[in-house]
Amino acid sequence: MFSMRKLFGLFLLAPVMLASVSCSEAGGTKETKAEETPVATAKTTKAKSAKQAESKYVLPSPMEIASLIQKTGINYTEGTLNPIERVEFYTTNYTKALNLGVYGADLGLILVFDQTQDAINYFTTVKTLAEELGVLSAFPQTILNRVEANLGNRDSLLDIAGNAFADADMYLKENERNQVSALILAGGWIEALYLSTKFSNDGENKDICQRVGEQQKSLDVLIELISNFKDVSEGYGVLYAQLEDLKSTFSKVKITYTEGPVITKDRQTIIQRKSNVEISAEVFDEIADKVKTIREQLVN
Amino acid sequence: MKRLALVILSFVAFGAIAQCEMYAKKCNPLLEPYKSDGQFHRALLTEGETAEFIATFHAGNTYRIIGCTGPYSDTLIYRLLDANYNIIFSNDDYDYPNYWDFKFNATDRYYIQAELMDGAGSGCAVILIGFSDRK
Repeated sequence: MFSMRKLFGLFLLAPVMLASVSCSEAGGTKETKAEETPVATAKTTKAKSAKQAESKYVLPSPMEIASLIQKTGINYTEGTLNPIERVEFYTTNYTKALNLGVYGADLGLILVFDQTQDAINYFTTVKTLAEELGVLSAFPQTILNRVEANLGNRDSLLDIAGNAFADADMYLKENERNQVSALILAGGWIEALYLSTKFSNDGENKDICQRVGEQQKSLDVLIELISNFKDVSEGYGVLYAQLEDLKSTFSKVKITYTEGPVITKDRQTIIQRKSNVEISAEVFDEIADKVKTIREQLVN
Repeated sequence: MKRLALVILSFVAFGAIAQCEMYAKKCNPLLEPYKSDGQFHRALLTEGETAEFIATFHAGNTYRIIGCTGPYSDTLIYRLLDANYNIIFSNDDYDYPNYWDFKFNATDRYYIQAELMDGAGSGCAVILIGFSDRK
């Protein structure tokens, strides 16, 4: 819900935003303030590559990406999510799994932006698809009761959603349905990237431009994950090819690094190595167009 | 005889996998106040094996990595490595805490490695990851 103060702030900022730097001038990360006296710095020791874990790919959670978008200070944009009515279109396990991920990303955005009026509907839709995929334990009937009881409590709702998706992922992996798990992750990542481009104010928001450019790294991980299943069916093969094509555009994003110390204090390690993301307006637009095309094929 | 061996192996594997779920549920409360990444990361390990997970962590964000096994959680060694396999953190340098927090100033690929301590035999290693939703 919009407050009058937020709306007023947006109008004040609008001319500044329109005149602000484009993606081509997206800069590096904000420097972390120097912490207190470091207790220990890490030794630089090389490790050896190890046995690949069965569930070795860790993708950014769509909720995390939604949280990163929200931290840029941008306001929520109506009309960007996949409508819940479309859930009836998804009749194969392939489309159900992908769109469970899509709706999961939409749910993440709803929760981080406190759009609680849509929370119940999207939780219900996610639950429906999970049930149809046979993942009953992760989204029991009681979950909707808990959501209702916690409407307005952003932290609790994010916990409920995150834990439910983790339980679903656990069920799928423990039952050797890794390819379904992969599709959910892929659908969630694609939707989160799509929403990021939609929220960027056509590339004018420098911070979101940077977050989009950074997805070069997680796209590499996603492609490695999907490559394991690209021969399973035509759908997986098409998805893999689309992601590879998207990668060719992401390769034009330049990410450079400046080394820095690793500082450890009070059960936290701060890695001060910095990254700088350079993404031109043209590359941003190309990424936005490609992810829109991929997304439209997933949801329609 | 071969069929019997297969049946026995299936029971053993099923038992190990059920353990993974148990360990994940046991350690999940340690995520608080971080938010779950919505995924389940685990590896079945024999003695001497090291499992590896490939992750992307974002600049400006803080994460909690939990390394969990059972019945005693302090028998798991886990490490965080950068994209060039340099060790950033190893819990055996800090008396085997079962979780640690990390703040990154660079978005990049990282690796998490996990192995059971010498003498711990075989078992399931579970890695849970949470992100901070706070500014």
